[in-house]
Amino acid sequence: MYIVESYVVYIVISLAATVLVARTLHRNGRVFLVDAFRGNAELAGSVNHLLVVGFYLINVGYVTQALTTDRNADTMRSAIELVSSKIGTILLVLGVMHFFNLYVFNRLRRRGLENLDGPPVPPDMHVVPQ
Amino acid sequence: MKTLYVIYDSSCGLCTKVRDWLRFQPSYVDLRLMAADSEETRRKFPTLPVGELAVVSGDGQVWIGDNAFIVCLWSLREYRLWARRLATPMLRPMARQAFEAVSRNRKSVSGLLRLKSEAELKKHLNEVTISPCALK
Repeated sequence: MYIVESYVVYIVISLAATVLVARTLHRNGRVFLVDAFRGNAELAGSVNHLLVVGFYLINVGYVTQALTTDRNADTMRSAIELVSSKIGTILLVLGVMHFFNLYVFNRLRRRGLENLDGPPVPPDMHVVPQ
Repeated sequence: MKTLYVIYDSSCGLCTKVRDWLRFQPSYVDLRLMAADSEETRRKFPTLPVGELAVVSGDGQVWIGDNAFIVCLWSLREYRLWARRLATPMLRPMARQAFEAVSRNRKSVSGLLRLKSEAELKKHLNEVTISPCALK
């Protein structure tokens, strides 16, 4: 009986959560990437944008996929339980995606900083360049 | 570190071949490849030990032998990760042994692979006579 309302509430809340997390990643991930790409802001912005698009695709895709249910929403109680459980799954998936994105940012940053070191072996002697 | 001077043995075919390979590798720094017995090398680096591969940085740091080889790898974009791996305590002794084995036997390896050294090529070119130009 309440299935349509349940679906609507689920979609609205899930999409809102997706957008919020994506915007957080976009805004704060930028700093990681500028550091990783040695101050190249244009490249950082570009990679950031690409990562966020991917994030949206995966998450909106999953949200819409996970909508269908064969559980019943005939009573108010079962409708609330249904919506809660579905939103819960979405938030968990968003959480995993979020940490995965952080992992990717960190890897990029560490790879960029690695090349600032000198040779991995100490010199055997010194000369004065002629 | 912007420039690295690589001092190699120009009378060894294997070294000449590796030098040619090194020249065309994408690198992080400017690699200047200099023959150990050339005038320029003797003038620039008079105190280097004889008969050893050497790498010298612009600020005077010198690496000899297998250390020099690792620094060469480190300077290349595609081999920097390998340089770091070879420098770990686990692989370092093996890298040293491998380098020293090749280095000690470089003349025989060059012969086996029929690699001509820079010095041999120079000598050969000097022996070639070119007839004077027909146009007068």
